Amino acid sequence: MAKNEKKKASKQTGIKYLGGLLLSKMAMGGAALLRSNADEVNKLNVFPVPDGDTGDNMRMTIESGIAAIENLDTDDLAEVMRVLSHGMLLGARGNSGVILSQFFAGTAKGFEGVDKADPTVLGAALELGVKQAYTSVMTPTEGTILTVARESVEYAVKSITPKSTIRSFFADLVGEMHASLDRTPEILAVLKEAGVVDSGGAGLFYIMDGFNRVLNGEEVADNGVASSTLAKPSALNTSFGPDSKMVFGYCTEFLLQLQRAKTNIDKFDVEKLKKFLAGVGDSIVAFKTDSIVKVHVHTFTPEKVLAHCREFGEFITLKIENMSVQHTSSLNEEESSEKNEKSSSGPAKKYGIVAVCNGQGIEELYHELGTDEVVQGGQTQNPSTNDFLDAFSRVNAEHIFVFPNNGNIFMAAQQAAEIYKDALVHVLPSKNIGTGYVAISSADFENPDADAIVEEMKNAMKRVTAGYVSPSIRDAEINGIHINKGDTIGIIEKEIVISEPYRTTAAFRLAEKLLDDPNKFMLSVFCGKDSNEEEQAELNACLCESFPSAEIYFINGGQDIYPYIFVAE
Amino acid sequence: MSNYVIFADSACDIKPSVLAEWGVKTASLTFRFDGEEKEYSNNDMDTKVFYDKMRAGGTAKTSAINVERFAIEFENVLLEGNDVLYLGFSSGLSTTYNSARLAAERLREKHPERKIITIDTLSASAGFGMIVYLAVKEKEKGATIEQAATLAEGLKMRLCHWFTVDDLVYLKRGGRISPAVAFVGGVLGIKPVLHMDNEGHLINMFKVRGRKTAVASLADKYSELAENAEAGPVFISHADCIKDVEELADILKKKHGVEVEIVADVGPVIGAHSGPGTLALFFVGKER
Repeated sequence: MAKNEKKKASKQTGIKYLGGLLLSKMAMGGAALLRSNADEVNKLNVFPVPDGDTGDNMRMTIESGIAAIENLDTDDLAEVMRVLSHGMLLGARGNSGVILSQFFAGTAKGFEGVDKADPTVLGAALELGVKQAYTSVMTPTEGTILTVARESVEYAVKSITPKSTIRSFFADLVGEMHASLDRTPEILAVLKEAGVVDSGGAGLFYIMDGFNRVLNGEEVADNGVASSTLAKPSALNTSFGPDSKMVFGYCTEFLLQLQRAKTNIDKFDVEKLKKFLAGVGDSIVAFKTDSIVKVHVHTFTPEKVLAHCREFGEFITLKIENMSVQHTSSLNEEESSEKNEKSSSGPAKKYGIVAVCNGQGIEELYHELGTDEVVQGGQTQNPSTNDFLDAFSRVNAEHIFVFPNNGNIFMAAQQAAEIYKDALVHVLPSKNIGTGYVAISSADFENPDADAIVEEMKNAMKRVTAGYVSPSIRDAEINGIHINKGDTIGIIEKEIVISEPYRTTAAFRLAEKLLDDPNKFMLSVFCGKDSNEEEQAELNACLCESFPSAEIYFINGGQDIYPYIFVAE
Repeated sequence: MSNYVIFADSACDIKPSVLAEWGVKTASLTFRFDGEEKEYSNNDMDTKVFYDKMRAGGTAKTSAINVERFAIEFENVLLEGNDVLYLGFSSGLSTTYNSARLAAERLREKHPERKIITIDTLSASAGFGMIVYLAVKEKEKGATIEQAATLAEGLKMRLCHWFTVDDLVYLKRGGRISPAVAFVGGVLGIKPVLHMDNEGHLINMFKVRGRKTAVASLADKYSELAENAEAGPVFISHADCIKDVEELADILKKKHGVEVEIVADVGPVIGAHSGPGTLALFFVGKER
């Protein structure tokens, strides 16, 4: 036994070439290691607000790639990398996820026509990956995942000698990656101030460390939630038939009417339900409005979900879709156009709107504004590129305006816009539900010139200043402001400007700061699900008294994380 | 040359005392709150009281002036030996003008020696008031009834009405609006900017975010369209929002050095349809 292992290890030490099968195994190890450490990566958050999700975003991105290669049986490196990176492109979530997917996509380009790579070819391909990762960002920032990728690849390439093996290459790469990650706070002041390293860089490190461990013959322990189901990869281009394997699970969505006979409706615990759902699936959305619970989950066992939920009530609507079918038809070009023909009974309208929202209140508001498709998501749940593609395919319009409503969702939307071919997709850089709302309501959709509408909306967004009220989850000292855990902090655009022990005071002071600007005379207050009517009334009264000539509107947004989002214009 | 009287109706939103000064006679449209018996004319109720009632949820219905009423009023003038030049409220918004036309036809047979000229101003509120005002000035300069009529006729297609309302719900309820711009109802903070077109209909032209922007865009329309921006004349009417009037007047003065000649209350017969918070700007342009 011991002899065998030793032999195996020494054989791997001598690996001169990286092939497709090995890459597959390494990628799975990378995904597993990140999965085990995703929470830790989530916590590497610059602001002390409970919205870190980089680890989850990167995990879901790589899992989407893994799902794509799961049934791929080839040792052709180029093919495995192509399928892997394509799966990642589609599953990319969050800015770090998008950058990660672009890094792999660039590397895949470097492998084109290569069935196995030696360290030199591997290094050159990774360099292409770094290049593509940089170009995917409009203004690349150093001290982030980009730097970590670049420095480590540069180092590994420079260290190549005639004696180099794949293993020595990865050892150099991962070693430098760790060192580079540790240097990120020296480059990016916000990291240093918050006492963290860059979260995207950390995610990349875990993935590559996982690659490396597999290469060294280690079993990568997987303590995370296994969830390859959310991935909608590209490997299978066949329809679901008599011999098909269930690979992607079911997209399961329903409205559950809670029943008094079955449960105490007021005390119904959505968080508990979410935990149950997390055990049987992923891509979970669950929220309760009055006595109705809306659920969205991707699962292999919808019957379990249904049985469990019926313990509390009955379904008002129910939809279960085999995602393999959904997936294949949205990817295969011919089938895709066929699908579009189905959904587009009648000529395409000129303009369509797709917006990312989370919360019933804000969803209704966006629908009132004329939004065609809402993509579920927000701060802690970033939709993937593929979620956007799905939404686009349901909109029958010549132009689609997209409102990501979050800085960390913009890139996934942008990536989807580049992939999508059936409409001209314009992604507007809306940072929150409020600026998106202002932009849409400012636009004149009668204007035949789409670019002019985009311009109009961008100008509207430039005109506004956004403020966020958020609880603080740890002590911190930022911008000279002392923050105690449990305080409420006020953020204007990207800067923490106040911290107060009382939330109402914090909200008022933040609004005051926004309205003190002589050019601002209107304040829209988007109330989150954690705000309450009494507080809103108090806030409104204080603001009306202090700013008698300002127009102040309270809007039920129902967003999470932020009890209030202010948009001043 | 025989004398003539300029006749208008209460939709011109010029105060009775001012009209009396100008020597203009009027007849009144009427209004009534839902669920109430009593009928009022503009002079019977303070506008502030009226708009507070509307804000509290009251719905007012208006009634046009009927043929009989015009026949009596016009005949009184004719019997005094005067001709009648009637300038009337837009036929695009009320049947009042048609009543006057029918009354005039009847009276022409009865008094063939007298002249009765009726003009559909296709205008409303103080825009209509401005046509009356300019016709009065022409008359004071010695214009004949035909000359004054020609002036009013030539002026009406150049009388610009630009206005904003606080809430489109009132115009929609009264069916007094054509949706040129697809308008999203109920979106907080969105203010429509409207104008009156060549058929005397109210048209939703564009929307802006915020009342302040709406007020400023009325001034922008003045800069863009006024025939003589420095000289005026400029009238403003408002439905209980004098602060916005001051702001608009201020912008116009700063931009063009022009003074607002008349600030009028949007009377209940118009306000019942446009609602509290209506702010309207009137001026002469090259076209509407």
